[in-house]
Amino acid sequence: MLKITRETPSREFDAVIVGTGPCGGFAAKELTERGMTVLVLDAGPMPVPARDFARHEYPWQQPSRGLAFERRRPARPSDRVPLMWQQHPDHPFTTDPGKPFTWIRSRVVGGRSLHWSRASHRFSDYDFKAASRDGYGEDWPVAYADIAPYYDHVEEHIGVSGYTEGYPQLPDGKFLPGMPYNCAELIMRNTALRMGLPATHRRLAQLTRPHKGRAACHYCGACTNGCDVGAMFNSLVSTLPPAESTGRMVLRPDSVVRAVLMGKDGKARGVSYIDRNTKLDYEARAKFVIVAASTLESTRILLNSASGGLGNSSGVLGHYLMDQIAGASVTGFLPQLRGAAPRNDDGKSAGAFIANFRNLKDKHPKFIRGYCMSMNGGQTASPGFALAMPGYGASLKERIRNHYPAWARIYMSAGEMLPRFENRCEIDTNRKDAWGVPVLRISVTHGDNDRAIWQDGSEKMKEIFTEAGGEITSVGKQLNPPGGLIHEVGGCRMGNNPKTSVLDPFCRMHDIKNVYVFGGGAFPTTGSYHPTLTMMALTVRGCERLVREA
Amino acid sequence: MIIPTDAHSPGASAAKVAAFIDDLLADSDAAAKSAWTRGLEAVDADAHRRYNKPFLAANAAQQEEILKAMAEGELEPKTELHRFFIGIKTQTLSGYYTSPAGLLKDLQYKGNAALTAYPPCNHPDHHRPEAKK
Repeated sequence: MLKITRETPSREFDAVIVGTGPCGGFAAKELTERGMTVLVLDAGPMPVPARDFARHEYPWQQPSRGLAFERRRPARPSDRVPLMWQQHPDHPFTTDPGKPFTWIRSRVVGGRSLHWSRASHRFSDYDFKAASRDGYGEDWPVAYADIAPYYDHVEEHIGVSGYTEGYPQLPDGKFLPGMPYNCAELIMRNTALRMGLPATHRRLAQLTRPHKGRAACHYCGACTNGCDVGAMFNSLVSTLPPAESTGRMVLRPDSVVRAVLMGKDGKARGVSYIDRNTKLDYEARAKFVIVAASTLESTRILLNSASGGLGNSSGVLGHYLMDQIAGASVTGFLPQLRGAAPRNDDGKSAGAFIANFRNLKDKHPKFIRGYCMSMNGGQTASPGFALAMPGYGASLKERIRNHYPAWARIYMSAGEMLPRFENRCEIDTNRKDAWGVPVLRISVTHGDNDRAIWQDGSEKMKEIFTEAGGEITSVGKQLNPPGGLIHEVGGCRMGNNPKTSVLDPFCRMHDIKNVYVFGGGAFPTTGSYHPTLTMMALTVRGCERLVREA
Repeated sequence: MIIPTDAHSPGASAAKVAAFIDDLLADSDAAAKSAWTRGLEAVDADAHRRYNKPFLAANAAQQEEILKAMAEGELEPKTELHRFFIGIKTQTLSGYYTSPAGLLKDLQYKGNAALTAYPPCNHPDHHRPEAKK
């Protein structure tokens, strides 16, 4: 159990870190291991895994039988581990009419590392330098060669299982042994390979053997309800403990950071925060301020720190907000598995994967950029497909039983959404949260290219599923509102030019030299893969530079 | 009747799905509750029209006739009875397949276990030759 403080330290630390998710946790580890003292603040409470995680539960042990089945009413608060999946009225946000946005917040020590899907795929220069190839927007100010050593560093620390494949658009990493495929995954993965698609297993921050004092995965499934054996990467088991063991970290939960405080010398002097429970105001002092509170929360803190936003001489703070494209999917049955003997397919809740294959060498006539897909199937907990089967009685019951092992799906894991200036968040001056901090108004819509990617993915999935011999029973009908994939990025993008970007290539603010912003906010584009691994790599790289120049 | 007991496993009644639905409704809004009572009334009205008695007083063959007529509109529901069938079936399946009887006895769900290794596919025919990358 990590040691926490309820005190309000008045001394000056080398750095104050706001947030304990994947990036805040890594920043704490990297800075303390390099000799710095850090005060780590998180807006949420310290979780107690035995109490707050819902592991090894069957649906009938949950108040409304979990979310495994299609729901006909809102979830009760206790349904999905409320600490980790918060949509709490205490910290709201607003949207413009007709522009829905989903923001899954996790105010708890560990943040969204506690429930993430663990997919850990490297970006390549197809992602970092996409603008140079197709002429849209801007390149990242870093190339794959700059980030590769930090990907190595992060993967070696957190433990990523995967297979080495040699796909140039999906660089291989430092992998633990890959997970075996189950029947449905293998059938679909082999089909994809026969079709010439770059298929492999999802690369997962989930241990296939003991690693750095953490236990190997025992495949109980339901990872996103919290893993208290520490087999999946989260901050509580992987980054905060080594930071603590240096003796240089002070961790204070229940600290809602309102703003970065500026000194008279044009540098930040710390942050102001409010105790979540007592609602009293405090200040934390530090030589460096690390804002790692999530894409949107970090942006909100900067916007709330000064009139017009802190470090916003570029005018792009809050802009170029994105989330990756999701909602395209194909679900059905693989007839070769109908009536198969019962087996455990539910242990890893992730499966086969197809890397992006669009706009690499060729140019698609209808869109730029690309997407990746995931494929899974078999006997997962509850047969949601049963609701769509007509009839009743003994014959329906038998049909469901017979189809249970044969269920399979392909879905868009992440499609690239283009950055557009008008997609933004700003402070809603009319609304404050329970701690009196003004909230965000978020305004994001999809464009034609985003829709074309969704459409192409949808058609490709039908092709793959049919080629696998599958019977399609349903097809995803809508492009999900942005935010729902929980891959939101942008808002304080990095770049070489201080006139068009908020952060420099090391995630340091162009305008304020002792403030670093780690997280998805720095992303100039979404890329076509899951963002977390890249966020963590950028964090380590930024910390290394911070210490070098401190 | 929707998920009956058979040689393989207990059905929805034995799995106490009625109690699950009660609990679900207790937690639902007024519209969902009144849809449910309207549906039950419509079923009884249909039983009275056909057999001059409430549904529960009808014999098994008569109840089957009523349910069969309700299920005929499942794909394109036009009447109160058709819509109620979809509602009652959805909740029955939801309750049954999240119960020990449905998940463990009927479907033989093997997940939520502690394994030392993930079980790989061991069907040679699923390992068909791959194309060259």
